[in-house]
Amino acid sequence: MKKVIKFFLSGYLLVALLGTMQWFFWNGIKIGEGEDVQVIWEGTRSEKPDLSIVPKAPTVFAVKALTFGDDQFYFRKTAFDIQNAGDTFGRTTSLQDYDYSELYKWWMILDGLDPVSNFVPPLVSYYFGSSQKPERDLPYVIDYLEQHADRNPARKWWWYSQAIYHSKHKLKDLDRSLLLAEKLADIPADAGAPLWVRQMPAFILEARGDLNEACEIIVNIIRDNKNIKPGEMNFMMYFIKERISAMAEEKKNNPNFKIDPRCNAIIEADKKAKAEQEAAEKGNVKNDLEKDEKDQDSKKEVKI
Amino acid sequence: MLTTIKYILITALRDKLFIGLFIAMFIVFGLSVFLGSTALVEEDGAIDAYIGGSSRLVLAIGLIVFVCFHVRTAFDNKEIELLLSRPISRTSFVFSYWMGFAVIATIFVVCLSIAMFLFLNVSGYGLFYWSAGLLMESYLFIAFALFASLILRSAVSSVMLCFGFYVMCRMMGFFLYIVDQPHLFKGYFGDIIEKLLIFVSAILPRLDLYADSKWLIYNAVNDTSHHWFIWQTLIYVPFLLVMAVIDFKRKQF
Repeated sequence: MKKVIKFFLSGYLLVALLGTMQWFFWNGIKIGEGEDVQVIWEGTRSEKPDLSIVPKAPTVFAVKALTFGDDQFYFRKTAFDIQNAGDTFGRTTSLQDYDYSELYKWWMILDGLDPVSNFVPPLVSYYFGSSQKPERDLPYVIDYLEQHADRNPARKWWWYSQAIYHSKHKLKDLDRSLLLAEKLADIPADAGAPLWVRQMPAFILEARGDLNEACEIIVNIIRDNKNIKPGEMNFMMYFIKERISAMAEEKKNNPNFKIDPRCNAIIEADKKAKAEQEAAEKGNVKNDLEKDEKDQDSKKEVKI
Repeated sequence: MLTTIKYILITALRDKLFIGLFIAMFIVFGLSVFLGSTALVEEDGAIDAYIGGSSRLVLAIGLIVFVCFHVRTAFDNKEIELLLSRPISRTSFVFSYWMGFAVIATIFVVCLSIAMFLFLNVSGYGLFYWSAGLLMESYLFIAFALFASLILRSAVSSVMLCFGFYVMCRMMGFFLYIVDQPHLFKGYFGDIIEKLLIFVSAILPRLDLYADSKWLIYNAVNDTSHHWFIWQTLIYVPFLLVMAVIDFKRKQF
């Protein structure tokens, strides 16, 4: 008996036994086949990491601890993870499969770590904003862009315009677009923003059919801004004379419809100028025709 | 003192510290540039932050391990006794040992800063303050590593203690944030933990105010905390060295 135990413990048999146990530990133990299979041990072979698309966002406490005293490093690392979320390990995930409510939490966490950086807003607007299910997902995008820009409107006004784009053209939510456009138009004058930023509410109001308010905004811009470039002035005149005028013409039979007197004056002046030009052109044509007839008659007389 | 400093540098060469740490820094540099360049926007900011954060950790780990094992090996090989047989006081010995390690740390930080200035798009002002913060941090954890390796008999224990100290100090901002949340500390044990946290935050240095990666990207111009690391180091390093001297003077050989 001692010899048997000694042989068993000699090493080789023990190694073979343990190796076999390891194989079964990995592969599992199943008895039977097909539908009658009885699983005694599942095996670690089937245990794989959970490659979720968007990991669960941590709490504020956890973030504070995980930064390890270096907020910027953690911000860049986490933003990189969010940029590549769902597309790691050879995967390609459609944006409609992302959990945007969880993504929104990550975006706000990242903004809390570094509100100055422009890493996250382009990612949100240009990439995550292209979801195949805009009605479900874009509200999160718009909410984030608005809150990000609210932190420093003078420097972050561009993200208001991005939020307006998603709201107006993809969600067709003109009320929300107007609120965002008013925030955009209210940015400080020294922000260095182009003139269309101040004009944005007018475009939204025009789309809503509020022509009076739209025209009033444009006229006020012309009144309050000096040194407007010729191209900008031409556009604003075109906006009033063509776009506002065309819509006003459709609504003129509505007794409740009214338009800013200044706009009305511009539109009427433009109509008058066009009528005079038309008349002048007709007069010129008539004179040319009469002249041609006289020339023809004089030539006939000469021949004769 | 100069002799001891030279001795430290020679042992660093002997232990291939310079080669090892320079290779580690090079790998960190390359990985950071690679990963940062894949960012959708602000590639330069990502590269700067990765290099800043990771090189700081590599330097801390490398120097702590070197200091702890070097001192313990010196005790085991009786090199300490040989050095003390010269006409050098124990106080001078401790300070010259620290100076030697500080010179090594300075070499690494200066080389890293030059490499970052030459190869990265980083503002000079921010890099200067970040490098100064990293240097001060190095001096501080070297002083603690020296202190730990002098008071403890095992090199591994010294390294563990230093890592624990480093982690606690880097997370000190988080602990202070917790202290400001009164709803977390309820009851008798909550009071004890709150007071313990306040006590710990009072005696440990704020390493989270040192070498902030955002200085590399946004400059340190508007950040008032970039002066604190200087004063913290001027207070804490002598504090640690004096404690090390007190313990070393009591040692019997």
